[in-house]
Amino acid sequence: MAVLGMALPESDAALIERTGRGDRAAFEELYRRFARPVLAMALRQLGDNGRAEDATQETFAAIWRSARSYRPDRGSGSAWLYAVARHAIIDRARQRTEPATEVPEEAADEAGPDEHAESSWLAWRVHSALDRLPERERVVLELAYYSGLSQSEIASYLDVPLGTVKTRTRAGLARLADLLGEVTE
Amino acid sequence: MREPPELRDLVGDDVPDDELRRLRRADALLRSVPPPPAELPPSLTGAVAAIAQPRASLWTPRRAIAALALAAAIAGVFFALGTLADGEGGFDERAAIPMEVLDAAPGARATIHVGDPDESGNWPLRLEVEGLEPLPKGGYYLLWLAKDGDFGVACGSFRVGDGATVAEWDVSYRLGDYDEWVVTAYRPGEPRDAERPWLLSADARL
Repeated sequence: MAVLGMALPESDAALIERTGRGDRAAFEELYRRFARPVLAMALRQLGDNGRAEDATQETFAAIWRSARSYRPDRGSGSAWLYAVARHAIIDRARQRTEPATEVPEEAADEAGPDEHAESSWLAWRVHSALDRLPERERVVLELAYYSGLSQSEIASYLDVPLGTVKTRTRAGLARLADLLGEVTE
Repeated sequence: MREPPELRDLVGDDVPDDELRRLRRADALLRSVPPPPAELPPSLTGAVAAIAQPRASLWTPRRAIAALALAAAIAGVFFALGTLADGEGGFDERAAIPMEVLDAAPGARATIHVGDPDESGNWPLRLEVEGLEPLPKGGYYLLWLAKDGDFGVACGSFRVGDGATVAEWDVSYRLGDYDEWVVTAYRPGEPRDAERPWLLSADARL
């Protein structure tokens, strides 16, 4: 699917295959694309920063170790990475030995396992798509949607004209719609 | 957290209906998921970067820990001997750059030592600093590379106690992409994406 106004980046699958051959640059690009989605999922499911960071580190260690086992014909690169992250996070959750002192967000969620898995996968898709946007577009979207800033406040915060904020927001949303095409159809 | 503005307020009134329909789907997805972390902790980035080192065989975790402890002890001895002997560091130093003390860190003093890069392009760094205030538990200082007055990439974090502190890292960035070294502080409870006052700075152009 075409992405507006920029060259198509290397696919996740290609990066995983290069990582499987020991290519550090490919591994670093996977980290750049997927670290925040992994950390976000770990934070939601483990509930504290330290354990979530540990699970994220373990996820990328597993990616580095097992990228050679990835088979593109069995599924997308993003889905494979999601599965690796899920396993690492579940493993980390099972390792908990101390009494629970923090209640994970999902404990209050009345959704069943299927709904939870679906929402987790959706969040993964959206977060990883956000991290593919040009920085200038990603920043304005996150300030608007996740900090609740008005366009005027964003313009002031970033010290750019209001029109520039609206242009970047519009371009960022269009690019996201492309990246998340099959989700939004 | 405040609710995000309406889509029309975000993109303006001059968007054609068909494009607006497409944007509305992306808008709905953004509203339907929780926010991602504002930024990645530098400690995590450093830990993951260390994963992709050339693989060593026959290293059990226990052997690795023992070797690390031994290496740290040896490095400490050599560092101490080197410091006592001539005050210079333990790597091939390309530059020693005194940092400028900014208003937010009166009384501090720091020097960045940059070594020659290894074959893979990793630049050894050593930061010697004193006079920064110890931060509360969970807080840390960060050394950044900056460009045109904006934060670029984090090079590493450190804490300080009384007296001088020496922190060392390897970074794989192209130093020529940046023009300034910067030290900032993170204190627990602060938003991680907040603009942080610069405490120390130095010209990064070698």
